[in-house]
This record gives sequence, structure tokens and C-alpha cells, in this order.
Amino acid sequence: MIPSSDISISEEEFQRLAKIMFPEADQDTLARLYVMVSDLRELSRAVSEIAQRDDELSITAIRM
Amino acid sequence: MNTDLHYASIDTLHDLYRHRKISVLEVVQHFIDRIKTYNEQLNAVITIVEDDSIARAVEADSALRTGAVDDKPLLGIPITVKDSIPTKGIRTTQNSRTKGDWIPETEPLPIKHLREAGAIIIAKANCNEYFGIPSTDDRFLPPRTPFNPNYVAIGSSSGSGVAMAAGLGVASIGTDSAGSVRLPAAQAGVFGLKATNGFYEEGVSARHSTFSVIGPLTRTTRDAALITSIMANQQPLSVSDEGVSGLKIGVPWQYINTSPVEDEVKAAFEQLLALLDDAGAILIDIDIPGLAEARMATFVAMYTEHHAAHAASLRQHLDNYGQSARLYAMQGAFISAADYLHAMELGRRVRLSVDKTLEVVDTIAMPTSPFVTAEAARKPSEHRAGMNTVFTVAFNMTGHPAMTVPAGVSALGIPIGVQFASRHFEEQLLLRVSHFVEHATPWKDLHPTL
Repeated sequence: MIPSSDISISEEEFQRLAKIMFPEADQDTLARLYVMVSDLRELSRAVSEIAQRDDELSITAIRM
Repeated sequence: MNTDLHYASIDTLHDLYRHRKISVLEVVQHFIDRIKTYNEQLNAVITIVEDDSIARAVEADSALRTGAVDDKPLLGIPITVKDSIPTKGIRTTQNSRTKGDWIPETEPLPIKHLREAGAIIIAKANCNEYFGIPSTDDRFLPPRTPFNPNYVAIGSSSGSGVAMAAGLGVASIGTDSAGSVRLPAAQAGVFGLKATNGFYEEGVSARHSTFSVIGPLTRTTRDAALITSIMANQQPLSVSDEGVSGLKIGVPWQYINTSPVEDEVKAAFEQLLALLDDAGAILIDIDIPGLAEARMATFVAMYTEHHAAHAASLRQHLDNYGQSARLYAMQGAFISAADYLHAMELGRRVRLSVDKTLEVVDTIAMPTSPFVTAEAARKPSEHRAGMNTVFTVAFNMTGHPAMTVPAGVSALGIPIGVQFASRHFEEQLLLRVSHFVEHATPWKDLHPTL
């Protein structure tokens, strides 16, 4: 099971999960994927935080 | 052959057909020849549909001779269709090795309706493979903008944009999950409409995301109205020529000014606003809470849905995906169900926010793309992925209709677009604004030198 984005995943844990899900992926692909997934989970963490509180939404652009 | 034919609208072609100035066969052959001439340098299309197009053109000429044209509002109109959209009997690759030379046995209802109305699919337009970034390992190399071939075309309906810019068909059909009709249409100097989510009876396929809406890239506002209506199998949307006087146009300046928008894009936007102001529109500085959050939430949800659509395929033939498409499809595997639901909940809140704004103004205006080129959008050191959709993607999440209109040209010679959004199912208001801009500015007549 994939932990929600408020729980951080180390690169080692990521590699273990990724190898289960994509056994044919080579190391280069997994290394690139880790960078992208780290970004996406950071984005997701921010989204989840905002979704769970009643704060006003932003009126400015956010470069995340 | 009259060079104006390259950029003819539906009305123009039908007028020529009615007066027997040219046959459908001549027009179809003209566009196919033109595609063959320029496709090597532009990569605009993946598959040319020559034999079937010629056969349908002959049938259309026969119908014109006998007058059997009443239920065919697109009779003899040559179009291109993005290759991510399945087309019955026509090879559909989605620019992916995973599809091989798939020839679908069915097609989505919007495409079926277009063909029943007499449209002739002359080619399948190139596109980004499954949301990926164009790269040299793509099955078919990325299209280049004919306005400046040093630059790749903005996607993901990139081939559709190039086909329109280069005069390789009368209209093109794309799909828009984050701006993928509006952004290439803007760069091509044409009109592009994303209708309200749910406007059409059916999406492109069950595997496409919640946010994806099929949509036309066209030479005129009337063409956009006609094609959109036909794809939705409903009465034609009317195009009002009453102008923009009294129309309340909201401009979220604070959001625009904090976005990484290029100076010449902003200048073209301001110039169009001045024109609308002179014509009697009421410009109102507004804040729309949540546009930034909508972009973030959409990408979280969209990548999750994207992975769900590709999970089995990734396990079966990972190596058949291009490097970029593979990574884009894999990353959503690491988003939890809770994360996805939070993203969708945030999107619901933003929709309410946009609805509230549209109680005060009739339409919202923003630049279509913050950047003139696809290359400028890919500077990870300056901004994160998806910033090129900073003005478009929110309306995919909230479902509001949005339309891009030609609004200027950059120093690189590449067109610039401006986008308007309106209340759900108020496409006709967008068409009214678009019609005004079309006739008040010269930009739709800007064409590349090939």
C-alpha cells in the first residue's frame, strides 16, 4: 500500500516499492522516477494540507 | 490554386462548393498534397488518410450534385484529428510504440457525429505520447511550429496546432486536460474551445481522465460553434454579433502578476483589454481565490488517474513507452487514495470560488499561455512542472468552459493568445467575445511563410 503524502518515503523504501510495482524498470528509470515522485508527493502534501483546513485559498500564483 | 484555400473557413469552402467554384475532391487533394509537401519539416501528422478521404470526397461531390446536403453541415470539410483520439478504420498510434498500428473498430461519439455530418478526416495529427514531454526518443518526432521551426510546438495537441498554423486542414480536433487544445491553438494563432466538462455525450475514452475534454481548433468563431455543436449532437450554438458593450470582464491581476508570464504575452493581453475597454466592456480587477491550488490539485489527481489508466500496460510492456511518457505514467502509482480524494475536494472548493466570481462578472480574461514557446516552459530551476498551464488548467478542474482567441505576435514571430472563461454551459458568451475579437483585430490572418 502506498502511504499518503504526509508520510515521507526514503529513497531506499521507494526503490523497494518501485521494484515490486515495476520489476522490469532499470536503475536509471527508477532514479529519474524517484526525483519526479518526490516532487509530486511534495505537491500532493501541500494540496492535502490545504484541502483539510478551512483557510482561504490563495489569490496569487504559487510556483510549486 | 488560390493560396487562400490553405486557410479557408467552413463557410468559405461551402460557398465555393455551392457555386461550383471548386470540388470537394480538389480541396481534399489540395490539403493532402500540402501535408505531403510540409510534413517532413513540421512533423504535423502521423498518418495521412488518403484513399478513404478521396473516396469520401467523391461521395460528397455526388451529394452536392444531387442536393442531398441538408443533414450534412460539414459536407466536404477536411479536418485532422489528434492521434490520441481513436478513429474507426484509421490507424491510431497515440504516438506510442505501445499501440503498434492499432486500427480501432469504434470511435468516440463526437468523432462519429462529425463524420455523419460530412467531415472528412484527412490525417491523424501528431501529439505528445501520453502527457509526456516531447523528446528525441518519441515514436514520431515532435512537431515544430511553422512560425519559427527552431521551436517545438506546444502540446499536447501539438500536431493539431501545427496543422492549423500551416494550413493543413480546415479544422483540427484535439483534447484538453490541462490546456491541451487552448495552448496549441494560441501558439497557432487560431481559436480553441474547451467546452464545459460534461458538454459532450461521451469523452474520448473511459481511459481518459476526469479533466479531459475533446475540443476544436478552428479558423473562425463560427467554425468553433458549429463543430462544437455537432460533436455534442445538439442544435448549433449561436454566435452573437452584438459586441462586448456592457459586458463585465473580470481580470485577476494579482494572480497574473505573480505568475511567470513573459512581458510580450502580458503586453498583448493588455492591448486586447484596451480594445475591449474602448468597445464598451467593463473591466473589473478581481481576485479568484484558488487558481493556484487548482493547478496543483489537478496535477495530483490527473497523474493518479493517468497511472490507473496505464497500470496494466506498464506491467506488460514498460519498454515500449518513450522515456518521458513512461515516467509520467509511473509516478501516479505513488499517490495514495487519500491524496487523490483530497485533491478532488480541493478542486470542488475552487469550483465554488470560480462560480462565486462569475456571479459578479460575465467572463474571466487571462493570457492563454504564460510563455510563447514550449522551451521557455521547461526551466525547472525557475518553476515547477505545469507552470505553462497556470492560466488554463484551473478550468479543467472546475469544469468551466474556456476559449482562446488570437491576440498578438511575439518577437519570435509566434502568435500569442488570450483566454476567456465563463459560467458552466455558457459557451455562447465566449463565442460572443471571440466573434468580437476576431473582427476587431488582424491576428487570425497571421500565417507563417513556408
